[in-house]
Amino acid sequence: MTFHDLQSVQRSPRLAILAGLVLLITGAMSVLSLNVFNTSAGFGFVPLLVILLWPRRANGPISVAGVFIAGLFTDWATGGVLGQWALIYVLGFALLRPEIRNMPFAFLRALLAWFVLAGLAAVLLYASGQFVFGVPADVVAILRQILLATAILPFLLIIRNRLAGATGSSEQWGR
Amino acid sequence: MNRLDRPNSGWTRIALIFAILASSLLMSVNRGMAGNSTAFGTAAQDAVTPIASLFSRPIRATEGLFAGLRERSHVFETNAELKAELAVLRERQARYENLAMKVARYEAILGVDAQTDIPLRKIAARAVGETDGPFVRSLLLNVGKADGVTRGNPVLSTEGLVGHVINVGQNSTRVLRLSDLNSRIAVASVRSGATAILAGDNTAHPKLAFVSQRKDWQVGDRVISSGDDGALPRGLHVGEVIKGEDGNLRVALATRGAALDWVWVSPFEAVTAPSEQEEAEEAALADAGGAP
Repeated sequence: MTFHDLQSVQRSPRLAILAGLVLLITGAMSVLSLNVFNTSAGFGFVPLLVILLWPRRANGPISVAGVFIAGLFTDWATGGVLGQWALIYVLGFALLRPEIRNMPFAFLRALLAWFVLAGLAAVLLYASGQFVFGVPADVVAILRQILLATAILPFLLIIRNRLAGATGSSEQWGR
Repeated sequence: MNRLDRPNSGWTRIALIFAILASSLLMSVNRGMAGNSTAFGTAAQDAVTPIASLFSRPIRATEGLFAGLRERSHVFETNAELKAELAVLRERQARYENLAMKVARYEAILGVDAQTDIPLRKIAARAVGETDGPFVRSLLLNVGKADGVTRGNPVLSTEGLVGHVINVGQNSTRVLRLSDLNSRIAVASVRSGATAILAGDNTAHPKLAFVSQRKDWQVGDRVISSGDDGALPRGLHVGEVIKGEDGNLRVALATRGAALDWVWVSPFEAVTAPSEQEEAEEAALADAGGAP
C-alpha cells in the first residue's frame, strides 16, 4: 500500500475533460477505415479503447457527460442514428466504471477487460441495429473492427504508460 | 472532500442513468432516420473532415505499402495479362473509331441529338473518410457547397459509380454508397436494356429488385444507371450481374474492394416532376410580386 492509497481520492475535472476530448477525436476517427488485401476494417471500435483506458482519477459526472457528448458526436459524424453510439459508449463506461477501479491496468488485465467491453459493444450494436434498422448487422464487419482495435490496443497502452512516466503522475495515468 | 469528488459518488450513477435514458430515447425517436441531414449533423461532418483528412494520410500510406507489396509479387503475371489485354483493346479501338464515325454520320443525316446527359464538368474530391461499419456504408469527401456540390449528385471513381450525395456541408460531403441499406437506384442491363432497382442491403453485392422479366437478366450482364428515376444520368457504369448465394440476382459492384482515395462528383441536375417545377415557378413569381 503506497502513501497515495491512504489519501482521500481527488477527482480531477481537467482529466475528465481531457479524456473526453481524446474520445471526441477518436470518435471522429470512426469515419475512417483501413483497406488491406481487398478487406476493409473500420475504426469504429477505437473510441472504446479510450473508454477502456479512461483515467481513474477523472471526475465521474463530467466523465459521463463527456462520454455521452462524444457518443452523440460520433453518431452525427458517421451519419448513423442519433443515440446508438452514445448508448454503447455510456453502457461501456457503466460496465467498466473507471472511477471505482483500484488495480493497475497490466497488459493481460487490460486485454481481458477489452474483450469484455468489445463483446458488450458488439452485442449492443447488433441489438440496437436490429431495433433501429430492422436488419441484422454485418457481423463480419463488427469482428473486423474489433480485430483492428485490438491490434491498436498495445500501442495505446505503451503511449499511455510513457505519458504517465513523462508527466510523473502515475497515480492518474499509470493505473 | 467535495461530494462530486468521491470515488463512488451517487452523482456519477445519476449521470449514468440519465445518459442511458437520454441515449435510448434519442435512438427510439430517430429510429429509421439514418443519413437524414440535420444542422448538428452537417456541422459535425464539417468538423470531422479536417481531422479525418489528417488521420487518413498515415492510413493511406499503410494501405499503399501493403498494396505495393502485393503488386510487386504479381508484377510479371500482371505484365503478361496487360500485354494480352492491350492487343485486344487496340483492335477494339479501331472498331470503335469506325463505329463512332458511322454514328456521327447517321446523327447528321437524322438530325438527332444523341448526346449523353452525363455532365462533362467534374469536381475532383478526396475521400477522407470511409465508414464501412455494420450498418452504414458512406464516404466523407473534402468538397462541399463552396465547390458546387449539391444533394443528389452522383459520385464516381475510375472504376465506376460509387454512390450519391446525401448531405452537403460548406466544405464536406457525405456520400451514400451503393451497398448501403438505404441506397436505391434505377439500373439497366446493357445487353437487354431491361431495367430494375439496385437495392443495397449492407452486403458486398446489392440485389436487383423489381425485375419484371428474369430472362432479360443474365449472369455477366454489364449494369449501368438507367436514368429512369431522374436522379442519376443514364450510362454510369455500376457493375456486373452475378448469382447470389441466396439464388437471387445481385450485382458485383465495379468499385467493390478498391480503396477509394480520389473520386469525382458529377454536378448532374436531377430531373424534377413538372408539377414541382410549376409550383416553384409560381412561388418565385409570388415572391417577385408578379402573382395574379
